[in-house]
Amino acid sequence: MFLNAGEKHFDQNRIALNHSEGRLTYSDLFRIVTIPINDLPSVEFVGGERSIAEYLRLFACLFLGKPYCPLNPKFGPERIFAIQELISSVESSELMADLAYIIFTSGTTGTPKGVPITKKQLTNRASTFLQILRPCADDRIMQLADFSFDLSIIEMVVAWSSGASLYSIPADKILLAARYAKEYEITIWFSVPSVISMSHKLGLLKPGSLPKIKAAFFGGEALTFEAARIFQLAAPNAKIFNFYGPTEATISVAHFEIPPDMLHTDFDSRGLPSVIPIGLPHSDVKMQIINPQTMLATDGIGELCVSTEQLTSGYIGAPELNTSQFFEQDGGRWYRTGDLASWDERYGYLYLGRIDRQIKFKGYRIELQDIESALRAASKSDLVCAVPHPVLEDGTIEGLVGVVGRSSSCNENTDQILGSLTSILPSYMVPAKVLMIDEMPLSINGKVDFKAVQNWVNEQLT
Amino acid sequence: MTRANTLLQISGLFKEILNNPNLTLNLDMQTGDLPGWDSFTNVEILLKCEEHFSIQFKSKEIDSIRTISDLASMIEAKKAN
Repeated sequence: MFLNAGEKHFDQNRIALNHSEGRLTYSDLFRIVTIPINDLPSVEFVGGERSIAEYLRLFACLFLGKPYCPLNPKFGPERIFAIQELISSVESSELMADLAYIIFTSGTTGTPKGVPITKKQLTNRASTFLQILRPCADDRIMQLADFSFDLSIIEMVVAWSSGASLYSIPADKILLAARYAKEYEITIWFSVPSVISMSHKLGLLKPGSLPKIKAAFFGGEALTFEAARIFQLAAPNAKIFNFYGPTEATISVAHFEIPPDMLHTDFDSRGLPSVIPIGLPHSDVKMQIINPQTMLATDGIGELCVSTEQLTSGYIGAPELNTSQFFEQDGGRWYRTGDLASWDERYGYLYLGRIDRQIKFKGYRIELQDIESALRAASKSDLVCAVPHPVLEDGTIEGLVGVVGRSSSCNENTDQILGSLTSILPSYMVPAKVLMIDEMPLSINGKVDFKAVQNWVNEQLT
Repeated sequence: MTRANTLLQISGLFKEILNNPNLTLNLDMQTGDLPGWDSFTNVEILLKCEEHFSIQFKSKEIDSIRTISDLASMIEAKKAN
């Protein structure tokens, strides 16, 4: 249903999917959609291995309009069980009528929260990307994103609805993305910005090394000027876009095409933060900045809120968040993104960071509180803290550290604590190290002073 | 280059990257089989092998390397060409 254009117009012998396990033509893909998948009213679970078999199932879902829910192998068995239970609770609901997919993100209580998105919403957003990108059948589109990251859906829909080839880079080789892109002559690059800084650090993003790239899309994390400059030098023929959007509003709500002069060293960036603007909302999205205390619109720095028909109908598994994260105003339904932003007359909206303690690590959205609740259980200490470390100058997070405040009854065996965390948390959320601290730094109101803990960790591990 | 010699050199690179002078490799080991050997350090190891053995892997060759044994075979094949 999203991909029917392909069946009519494409050269069926073109490569639809280039994968480390082999290549599939469009003819191969369309042949498999005749294989019956489970009854249409149910949600198809798709594992996160990104094997050819999983691509085929996902293609079948997108083509037949069967709703799917991507699982990630990094989710532990308990999380997967909780997700499957939640899904079974909605399979007989009216939600199923137009459901395209349900993506689970981390919840502050550690319980996964499901974000259902409809077919209409996905179709709308796919057409936004197709209009901006204008891909053609000769394009080679790189896929690094895991299926549980909604950017992956856009990559597939953009490729397969325009007859282009999707190049799937193995999940464990993401750091080699620049090398794969060069060898495969990728023309459209999609990634989180941290791939740039990590590739650069490994010496893989050399100036002029990616001349075939005509467009590059970055989203999911803040794109720094520095990272954008490094990428522009490596891919001098690329238009570079910064995309912004929460999963709750169907992948993307705003974008900014970086004017080439903005990345020149003599560009006057006064008044701008160190990250590229997120620009203007898509035509079907309204945005405003509110003071999170008063909930009134502000001209200054505040929480970015979005209103659009693209908003999810509400979380599955976290109904209390539906009242705290969404609100009604002037006849519209609004979503609080939790992001700090300001408005700039020249460049549109500017991203300034998170209001809460949510971070992006290896492309995953992580609530540090989730790690802390697991750390609390594993260490039997009330005073715990999770902090990102190391953090590169451009803000890229390279690791996580857990800190446990010593107490008479706590478990001080850090190996044992790490072992317990591995069974509780998805692997990307397990800290690389757990450190014991004699006295946890506290703020005046008795809460853990995150900044002081961060400084302590930086001192300990430098 | 004998297999034993290749493996000895690979082992040295692993010890350096994983910062563990006492580690021991076996031929069937894959990413994840040693503490600290995740997909990120695996890429560092592959790049270090390229530098050390003065070779460059192609993407398809990288895709085919699963175990220590595969890595040693690939290095020897590249050196032989």
